[in-house]
Amino acid sequence: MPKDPSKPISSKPDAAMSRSSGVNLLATCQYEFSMDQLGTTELRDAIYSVPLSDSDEELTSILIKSNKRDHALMRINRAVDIRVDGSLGHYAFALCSDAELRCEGHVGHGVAEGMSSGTVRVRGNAGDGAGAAMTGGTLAVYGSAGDRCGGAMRGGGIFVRGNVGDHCGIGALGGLMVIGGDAGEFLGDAMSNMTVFIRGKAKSLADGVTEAPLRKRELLRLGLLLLNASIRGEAKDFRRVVPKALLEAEEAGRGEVNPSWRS
Amino acid sequence: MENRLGSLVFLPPATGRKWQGHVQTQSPAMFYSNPPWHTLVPTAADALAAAIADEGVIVSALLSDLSSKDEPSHFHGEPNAESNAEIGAETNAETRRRIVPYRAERYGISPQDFDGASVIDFRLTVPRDSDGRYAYSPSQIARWESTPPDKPLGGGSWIPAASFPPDVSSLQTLSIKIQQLKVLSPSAMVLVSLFPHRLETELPQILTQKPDGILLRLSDEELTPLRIAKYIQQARKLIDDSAVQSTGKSTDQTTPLWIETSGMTPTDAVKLTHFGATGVSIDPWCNDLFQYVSETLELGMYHPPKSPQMRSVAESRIPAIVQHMLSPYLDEFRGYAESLTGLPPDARIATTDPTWSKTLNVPLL
Repeated sequence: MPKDPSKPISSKPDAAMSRSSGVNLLATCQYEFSMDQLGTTELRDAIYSVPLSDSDEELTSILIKSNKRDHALMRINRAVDIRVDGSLGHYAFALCSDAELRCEGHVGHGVAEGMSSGTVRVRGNAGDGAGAAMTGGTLAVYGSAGDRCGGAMRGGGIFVRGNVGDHCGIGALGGLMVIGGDAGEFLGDAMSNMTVFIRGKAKSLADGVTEAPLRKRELLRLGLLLLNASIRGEAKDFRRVVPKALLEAEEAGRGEVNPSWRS
Repeated sequence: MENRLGSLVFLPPATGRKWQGHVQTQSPAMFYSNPPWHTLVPTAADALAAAIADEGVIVSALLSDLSSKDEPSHFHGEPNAESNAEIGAETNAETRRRIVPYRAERYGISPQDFDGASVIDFRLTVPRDSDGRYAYSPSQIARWESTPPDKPLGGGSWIPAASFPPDVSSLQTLSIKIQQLKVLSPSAMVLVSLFPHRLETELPQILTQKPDGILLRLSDEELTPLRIAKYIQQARKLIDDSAVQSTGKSTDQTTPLWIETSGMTPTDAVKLTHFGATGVSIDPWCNDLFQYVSETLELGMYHPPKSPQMRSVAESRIPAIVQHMLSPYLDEFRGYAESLTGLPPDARIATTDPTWSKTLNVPLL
């Protein structure tokens, strides 16, 4: 059974500070629940029964123990900091907003699908369609992600420290993707206003997209983003992948003046 | 609009058949599948959706189709205080039945769309734009994503439409997605929609993924009426066979098979229900209505009202206009559908054409 939400648990060190993800695992979680004892609805109810923090700087923290992979924790729209100690199933943290969410294990397909704000961090690997149809917020995958990562994104940012599969960014209308490793086939297929930064190699770029040098302000922006996402490396190691038409508009000096670059 | 299924005729009750009173049956569902909401100003689209739903039609609309930053959708209902937090939360508009058009790309969709929905239309079909491309128009994208006119997403041009959801690995793993949709909208029926052209290979695969029902998109104008009727008959057989296979016995419960067609009159639509459709789209009956609201009431995006007052007055006329222009179609559909109930299935429809008789296995007059 979950601990009484009205009674915060005592400080409970779990593991050493993760140097790779920057996640402070020694931090105290105020509430703790177990997925093994709670169904999906009960778990959501438990999360929503936790009082929100009065502080602007620190969110109410919740630790969720998980030995099962069939939970998803979808549509969490609450300003809380949730850490899942274990792996999650498909559509983990889908349609979430406002929350700081971390999964210490792996996730299935569609992690953070449709999220609109907040942060999702996944310590392990993610399946296909990570961050699909996101409209805002940040998804960070510290392992690798499958095919169509960032497909149909409309906003927000995705960081993948490892590799991504084929067709990443397919149909994306906006947003940003940073790939620390390599990408599969057809990177950027049919994407529009999205920018991809990649450190490794792409097996192939899709028709209509091209590599472009990083501009100064992008070096600065990417450097900050890498710092925030706790991804090692320097911005200058990355290359930019953008739609050709957008690059042409940029070079003609009208890309930022007239964003109707395709018309 | 002319009858496209004129080769089929309704059979009257046989002479000498005993008088039966009113037979209580559930009439086929009527739904509005693809309304061009983006052609109307959002408030007018919202009023029109509500007026059509008030006529007993299940209306397909996203929150972003019918609202703007400053104008919420009344059709979707005021979200209650907790609706943002609660999966499957009810809204104040639960009496109006609504379809969530769940496209592969999900442009324009928001979590609130799932609240209080009656049907999730999980589309595995690719839409065409007015030029025939598999694409969305800039005005559709602008409505869904609410971008300012000078900063359009996608560079202000058409946007390619997706053929399959990016977060689904293959048709064989579709059940994962269907399950997610059921969790997000527990009270809604999840229909998977597909084109009929490869019915024999695609539909059995989809049925193994356990959707609540099927929506067959038959609005391709190149399909002949006979072909359409045959597709429905084939789909019904595949669905029923699949139900028998999975349960091991035949069941009285009919798995929903909804159809979207173009250019069908109410009597055509009723004839198609004879071949196994349990829901029919009313899209062809709304064309004049949309044109009237857009041009005569001047509520179109290309002829926007000149002032909020004029808009408000024009929008207040929408329910009466809907009742005047749409109700006759709906009444005719309901009337003919009811006339078939109580008749044995093989004594409802016949044909005067030998080809139709042979193809559809209906009596030849």
